Amino acid sequence: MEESPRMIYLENISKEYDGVTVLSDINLYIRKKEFVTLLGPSGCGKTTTLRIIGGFEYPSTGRVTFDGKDITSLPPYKRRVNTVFQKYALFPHLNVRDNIAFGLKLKKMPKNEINKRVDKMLDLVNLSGYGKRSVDSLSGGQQQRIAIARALVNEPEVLLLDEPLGALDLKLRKEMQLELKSMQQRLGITFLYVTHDQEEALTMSDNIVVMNAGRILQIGSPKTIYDEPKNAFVANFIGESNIIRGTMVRDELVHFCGVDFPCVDAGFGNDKPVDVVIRPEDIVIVGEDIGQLTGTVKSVLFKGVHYEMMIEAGGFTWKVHSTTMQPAGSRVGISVVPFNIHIMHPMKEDESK
Amino acid sequence: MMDLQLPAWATWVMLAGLAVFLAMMILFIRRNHGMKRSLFASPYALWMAIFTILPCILIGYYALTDASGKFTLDNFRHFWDSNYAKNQLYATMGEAAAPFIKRGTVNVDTLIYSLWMAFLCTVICLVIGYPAALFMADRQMKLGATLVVLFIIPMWMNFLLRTIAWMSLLEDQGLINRVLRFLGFEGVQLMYNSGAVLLGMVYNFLPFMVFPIYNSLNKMDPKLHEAAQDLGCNNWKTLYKVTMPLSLPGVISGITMVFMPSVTTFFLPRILGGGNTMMFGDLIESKFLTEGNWNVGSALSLIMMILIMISLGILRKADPEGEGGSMI
Repeated sequence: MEESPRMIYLENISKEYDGVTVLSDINLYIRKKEFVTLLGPSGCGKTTTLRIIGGFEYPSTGRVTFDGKDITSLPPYKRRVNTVFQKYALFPHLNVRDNIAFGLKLKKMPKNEINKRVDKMLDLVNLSGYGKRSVDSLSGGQQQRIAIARALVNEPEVLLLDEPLGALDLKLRKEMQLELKSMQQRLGITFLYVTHDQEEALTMSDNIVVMNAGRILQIGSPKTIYDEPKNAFVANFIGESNIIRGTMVRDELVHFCGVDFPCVDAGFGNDKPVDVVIRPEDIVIVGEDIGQLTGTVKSVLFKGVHYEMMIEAGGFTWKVHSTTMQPAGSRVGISVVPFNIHIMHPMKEDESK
Repeated sequence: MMDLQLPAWATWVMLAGLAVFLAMMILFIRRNHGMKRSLFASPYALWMAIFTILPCILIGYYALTDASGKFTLDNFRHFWDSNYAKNQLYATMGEAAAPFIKRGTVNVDTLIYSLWMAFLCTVICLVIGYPAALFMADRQMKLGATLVVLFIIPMWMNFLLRTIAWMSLLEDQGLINRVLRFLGFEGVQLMYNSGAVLLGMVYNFLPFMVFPIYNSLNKMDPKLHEAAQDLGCNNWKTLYKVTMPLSLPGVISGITMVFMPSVTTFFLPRILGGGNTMMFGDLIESKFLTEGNWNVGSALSLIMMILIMISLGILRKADPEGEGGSMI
């Protein structure tokens, strides 16, 4: 991705509610026209971070800058950002058209210009002809689109989205994911998206910020986050994984389950404890005699695209995804190519909370 | 146990009603289907019939008959002209009595005065009550919950006691005047005028304005405020463009619940107004109890009821979803 200029900076942001720390020392920047996702389990502080950028909360310490200007204590109505709320927060006393026109009317824009823009927005979200409807008469998906249109019509520089697809069913959600992504690319607006759904994050984002317990654990592209998780939490949260405690014997050689495995990572030092991540789809089932480890298939589950097998080998139960099935009880060998063994620094206790 | 002095037949009626009710509950539990639902409403229907519908019919009957039970519209003529009976007499006396035939306007004037007082009371309650409700519903204000309790506590006290308590404040030798004199000012006449009556009305009816508004504000999704701010509203504009329109059902409900009892206020003007002011409720009371003229009294009551129904209809129109109406 080409590097566009950085627009929003969060510097040393901390937030406390009644002595409880919800954010501790967040540092983050967001580039222009980027699709950034804050990802993490509920209570990790992702929504609070978004609300600080939106102006609905003020950080206890630290500052927020927008194009170099300090906006830390600026009220929401003076910020050039708009928000799509989790439960849409459409105004029930206004019809669809007036909901979308709300922001423009406040700006005292001429009537015909407002009408033109609202029509364009209704078109963009595929709801032209719904202008006169009351918002209560719309389905969840339609209300969602209206909420997006209401925010986008103001041509914000940044659109903040707080789990906007959380209330939709799976199929609609997938559709909206693609729609949102293409909308973002067409309009060239920065999207800051909050979700706890790792798949959603991987599908839509340019960059993902993984958060837990008020901290940022890792920032990176979806591919980096998936392939090179920084610690066991990220590895576990993004996709499925086998995480084993091991020892780095020396560069490019790691020891776990009683066996030395060649790998590609280096720089951890000699005989240092590490966490080893192996994705279930990276484990190859081979003949009993040629595997790096030998074990027994404990259970088999059919998952559609692949089988999920639990294989006990070397004192660890491995989760293995494969398109060919080995019956439960059979003896198999498993092996992993060096490239697919990912070494991480062991997690400190307080990060796993 | 308290000794309840009830006539024997009343006890039997009550026991019979209880038996019927219990029998139906048992039936309802044993077989949920097949029985007409409306049957279960019959005890309540009976109650309504005896204590609501029958009195209305009686009022209608008395209003349209004279003392001997004959149909007449004279009672309404009495409303329009309180000297009606006297003037009928003058009319039979020919030309000479003509100068004495004057319309007595006291009934109509009292009605207009009552409506005016009720209107003032409603407006003042709204002006005081809306900000109070805003404070109470503000989640960031720790004071809100306390304010709710402070509004509720006086309602635990009897209406009469509350009003009499005002007397001891406002009287010539009351607390306020004593403080004024102590500070070296002249005493002020606070009681026995419209102002004192209005004060009493506002004091008594204010909670009925505050709580419906408070309810509708409390129900509101706080995210709507954030959405308004997000789209460019400052605090005032948020209030004006989002909060107020959305609390309209509560406001209408509050207006209904203050205006209705205000128009029919009685007794309160006698305590705080000292007989200098009379409202329509007092007028009706005096027709029934002082003059013993049930027919004219009923006619006045009927006029009052019709006025109330008209204003209810207008308020319903303003709040078609009936959120306010459901409160009454």
